[in-house]
Amino acid sequence: MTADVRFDEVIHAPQRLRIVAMLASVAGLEFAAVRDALDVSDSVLSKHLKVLEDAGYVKVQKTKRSGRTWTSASLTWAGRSAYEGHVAALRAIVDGAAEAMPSASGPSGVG
Amino acid sequence: MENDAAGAPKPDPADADAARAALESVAASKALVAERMRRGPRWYNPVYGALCGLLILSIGLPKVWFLVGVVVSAIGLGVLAGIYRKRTGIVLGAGNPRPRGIYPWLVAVLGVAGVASYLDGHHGFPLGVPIVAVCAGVACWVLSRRYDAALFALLEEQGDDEGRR
Repeated sequence: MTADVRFDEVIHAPQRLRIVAMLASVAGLEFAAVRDALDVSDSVLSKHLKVLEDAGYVKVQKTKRSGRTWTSASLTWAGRSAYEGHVAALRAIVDGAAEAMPSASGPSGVG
Repeated sequence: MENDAAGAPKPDPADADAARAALESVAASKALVAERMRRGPRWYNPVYGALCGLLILSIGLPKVWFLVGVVVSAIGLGVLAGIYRKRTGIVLGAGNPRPRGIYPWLVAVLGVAGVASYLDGHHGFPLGVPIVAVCAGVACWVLSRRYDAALFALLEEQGDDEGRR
């Protein structure tokens, strides 16, 4: 991964990190699939997706099919870049190379 | 939201454990996606290949059958993607990762299609289009299976890599 090392506080919240990690592996995921994977309620997931959407990291799409509304989420280019940078920052911390990080959003504690 | 607070405090090295835990959750999330991918129907790849083959075959058919072939294969591909999405929760599209292992196969498929097309165009090969269609169909079947395998390997490799840290 050659992404810029960039700690991202929006992504770092545990549930949001998992959401973004899942979305980074595919073109998109159904809302229900993410909700089941995280084992959270609809409202909790909606809240996290809203935060990520507001940050420009995630695109939420609603489509009507068979009389039902299906919601899916996908990562934007900015979201993918931020995720890769954040994972690189986590690796840098683990590798003891935190001093090499060019920027940080000032997390008071990782985790 | 960009985080470029250059003067902000750097994460404490003591947070390495928390960072490691975060990387492990990333690995677990990727494994979950790989597990969901495996829920796809077993017949997905051959049907996908057949529909791609039909699409190519349509090119060599008379006008009316050409339209029928294109419409049937387009609807079929849409239905197939819908079934896959319903079973796995995964939306198929251009944003899927492209594992490197797939490129040699892609080159091989393009090579086969190119040779068949050349024979059809320059040597009046009578069954050129059907042969190209069959080649393309089988290639799409094999290629989509290879793609799945390469993607599983990629997700597991990334997961292992992050999980080991």
